Amino acid sequence: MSAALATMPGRIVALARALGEMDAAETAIGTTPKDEIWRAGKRRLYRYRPEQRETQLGPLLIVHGLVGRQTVADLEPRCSLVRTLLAAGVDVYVLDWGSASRADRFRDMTDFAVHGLGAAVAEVAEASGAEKVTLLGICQGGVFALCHAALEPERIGGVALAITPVDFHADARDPDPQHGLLNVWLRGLPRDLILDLIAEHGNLPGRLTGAVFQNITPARTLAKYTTGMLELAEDPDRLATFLRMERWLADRPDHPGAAAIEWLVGLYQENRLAEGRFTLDGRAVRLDAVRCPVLNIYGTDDHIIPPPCSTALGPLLPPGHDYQEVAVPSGHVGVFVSRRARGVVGPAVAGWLSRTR
Amino acid sequence: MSEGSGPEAEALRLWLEAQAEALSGAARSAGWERAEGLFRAWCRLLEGFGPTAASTAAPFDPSEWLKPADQYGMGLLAGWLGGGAGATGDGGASGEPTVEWRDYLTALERHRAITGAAWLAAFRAFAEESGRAERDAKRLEREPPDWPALVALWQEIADREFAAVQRSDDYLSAQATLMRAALDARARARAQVEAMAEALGLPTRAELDDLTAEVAELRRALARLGERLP
Repeated sequence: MSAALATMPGRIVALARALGEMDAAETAIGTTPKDEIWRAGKRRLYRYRPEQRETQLGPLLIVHGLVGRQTVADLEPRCSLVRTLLAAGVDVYVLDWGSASRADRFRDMTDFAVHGLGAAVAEVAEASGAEKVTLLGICQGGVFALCHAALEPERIGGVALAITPVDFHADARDPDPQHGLLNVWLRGLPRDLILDLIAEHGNLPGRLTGAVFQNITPARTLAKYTTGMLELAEDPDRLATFLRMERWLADRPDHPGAAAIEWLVGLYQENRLAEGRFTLDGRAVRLDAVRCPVLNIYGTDDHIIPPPCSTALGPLLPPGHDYQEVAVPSGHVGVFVSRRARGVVGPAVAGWLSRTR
Repeated sequence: MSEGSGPEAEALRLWLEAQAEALSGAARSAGWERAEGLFRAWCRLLEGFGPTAASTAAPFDPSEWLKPADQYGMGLLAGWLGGGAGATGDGGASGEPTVEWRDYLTALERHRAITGAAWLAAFRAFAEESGRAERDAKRLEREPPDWPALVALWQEIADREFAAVQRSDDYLSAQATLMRAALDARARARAQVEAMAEALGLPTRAELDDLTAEVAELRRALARLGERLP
């Protein structure tokens, strides 16, 4: 160990030099070319420029949730789900919800999952000339996609979910004690405390959710910014990848307050979706009303959305439903960015689109 | 590492023992309870002498003892907030911390004590396991664990230790108490600011929220109308 410690000063200097020489362009994320085709308020809908003259699959609309951003699917060229899908001939679109301010505090999940997503689906159908649109929902975006497919099935050709929770109490079935701490923490908070938190801030602050995620694994967080970064000092490519990930992690918008209450209380605490008591737009969201094929992708080592919380979906769909699961040997965000996930998720989605069109 | 010989092992061992004693549940709780009781008694006694007299009870306040004056920049934060509207609720004029601010500091220190105990337990376990690995390597005439192996070992042990603590009732209770105290302190400061704004005829947060609620309803009505159009 003494030998390793002796190299520390040199590594620190190398890291400082590497950081100083790096510019923002080298660590940009979401760089796959796309064009804005529609906007409404803060929402922006983009169509990615196809790599092939004619796309054979899709249209596929990527929907992220309100915690974090959709750029996770296009973090860098080497691990971009978007680029993999474009290369497979998929017509890919992405919805950007924008950045919530206090003026958005009364927007609820109906505004996003029903009206907002519905308007985007209509635009994608018009732009592509397709009758039906397939949704790829990421995390909370998957909940939006699933609910939308249950309530407005006519225009939805399929729903692919990635790292999406459905049963928010199923963490109890995960044997790994490091999985599901978020579920435990949220169930451990009095309901009134959550309501008062949202009332006081208007929204669920992005800074707070970021801090919560960091504190789930405090030792790992600390090591990432100390010994971890020193290991990257002499590898510019890995350092750039690390910084892109950090750029995505830091870009954490506030979560509109009314929707946050439904998410934290209605789903995390009361588990209404899995128990058939969740309502949007005054209507009951019944997962057994989903008619389209469903692909469910989850990380086997996901400590934020424990696997049982995702795989609980199967039995909730209609019997004999076209339902397929893909287990990825990775953590939460690792489903999109880890080396083990590359070559799994993109081909799985493209293959599913090809089979179900 | 703490089981080896040499001055650094001795220092590490003594530091671990001192921290463990300071943070151990029974010792800390009994001392803390006595200190809090004394502090409350002094506050009650001094209330009769007017609002400013309560500050003389500050030396008996256990949250004052454990306030991390210079740790992790908390001293700077505590000083800024301690002298500003967040602590006093009146722009710092009286220099008196509000009850909410005091409760927040108390809750913060309780939370830190629990997480501090988890760090110590992790350090202890790491010292034992890494020491064992080094002794085994020496006995078998192999290379001792290298830096990446030790870092990985530390992370595995610490994450495991924290996962256990972060599921405990003590931690969940301390976390909820801290969140509530922080919210109350913030709400108290905001109420003071809003009262001032209202007196000066400036828009308040509550008025803007009312307007926002109306706009949200109008948006929804517009969206529903749009969906009905051909």
